[in-house]
Amino acid sequence: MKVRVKAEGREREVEVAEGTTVGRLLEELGYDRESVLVRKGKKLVVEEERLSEGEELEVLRVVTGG
Amino acid sequence: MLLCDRCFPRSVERRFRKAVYEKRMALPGEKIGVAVSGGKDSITLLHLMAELGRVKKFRVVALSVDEGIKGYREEALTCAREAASSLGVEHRVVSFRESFGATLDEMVRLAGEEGTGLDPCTYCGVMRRYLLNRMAREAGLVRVATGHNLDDEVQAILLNYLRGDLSRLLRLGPAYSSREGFVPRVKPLREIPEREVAAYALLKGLRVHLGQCPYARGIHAEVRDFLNRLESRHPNCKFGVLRTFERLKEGLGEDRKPEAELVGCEVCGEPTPGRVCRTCELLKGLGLR
Ligand code: SF4
Repeated sequence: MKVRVKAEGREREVEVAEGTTVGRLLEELGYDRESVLVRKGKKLVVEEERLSEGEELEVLRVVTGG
Repeated sequence: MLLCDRCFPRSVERRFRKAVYEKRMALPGEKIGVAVSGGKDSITLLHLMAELGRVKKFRVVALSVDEGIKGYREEALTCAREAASSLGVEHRVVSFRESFGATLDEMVRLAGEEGTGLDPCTYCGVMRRYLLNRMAREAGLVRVATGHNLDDEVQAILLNYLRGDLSRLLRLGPAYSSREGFVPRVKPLREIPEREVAAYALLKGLRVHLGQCPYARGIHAEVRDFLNRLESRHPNCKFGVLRTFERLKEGLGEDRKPEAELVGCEVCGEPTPGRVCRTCELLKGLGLR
């Protein structure tokens, strides 16, 4: 199935296996989960949440410097 | 993060309050400073402190330092101003330029020309602390709270460890003791992970600046990423570092040398253990004093 991922100003479609969790998706995209938050619409989602077809997610980097 | 949108902010508020109460960071009738850079940590802290202050009857004053970092600090300070005014909190801002005659950007250029060999963060850190302390003392504040979160603290522990800087390492803590002329600093968010502070700010709809300072240095970011990778695979290792450090510090506490006595800096009069304070030394090296 496919989900849409918005991250660092880019949006793309990602093919994932049925039943993939948010945490697994982050790993596949090369993010470590400590550095990001994932948002679906206005809500934050936890890593355990399973994705469903066509969902739109936003990955926000939370670590900053200075 | 295992809590829902409603319970999660409450859990952050609870941990924040616990730190404030346990370490007696703010008491009724007191006037407490909050150092606000405009990033998520300090804006979150300002909100939490202002709200608690209303309930517990202490007053909050926001303090900001404009170092003069083009393309970075301006927007952050706008966030700080907005937050302070929406909360009805007094906000004091001082800049490197008006205090020292040059912005940090200009100092970095001068440091290159003079070949001081010092990095931007040295000037920035030393002089920001200097100004915050002076502002806090002039405003009659009893303490200054800073937005350091669990990640900042654990990174600082590891960095000082890697550099072998034992005296600086042992000075890290939730609250700094007071010394003549220095306003003590406290860190109410010290046990809250960075990611949770960010989630709180987001859920509360706080306007925060999320940019990266152009001078952020190498090893610092490497240590941060290393810890985050480790934590992703081995949850709670950040807390582990903090707890171990605290126990070590307790054990080492008695062996520490007493700190040098403070006198007034010969140039500016601010408290310092030497003849001339570090800020005046740095300014002299740049030809600004
Ligand atoms: S990264 Fe360095 S120069 Fe930038 S704000 Fe932090 S201490 Fe200052």
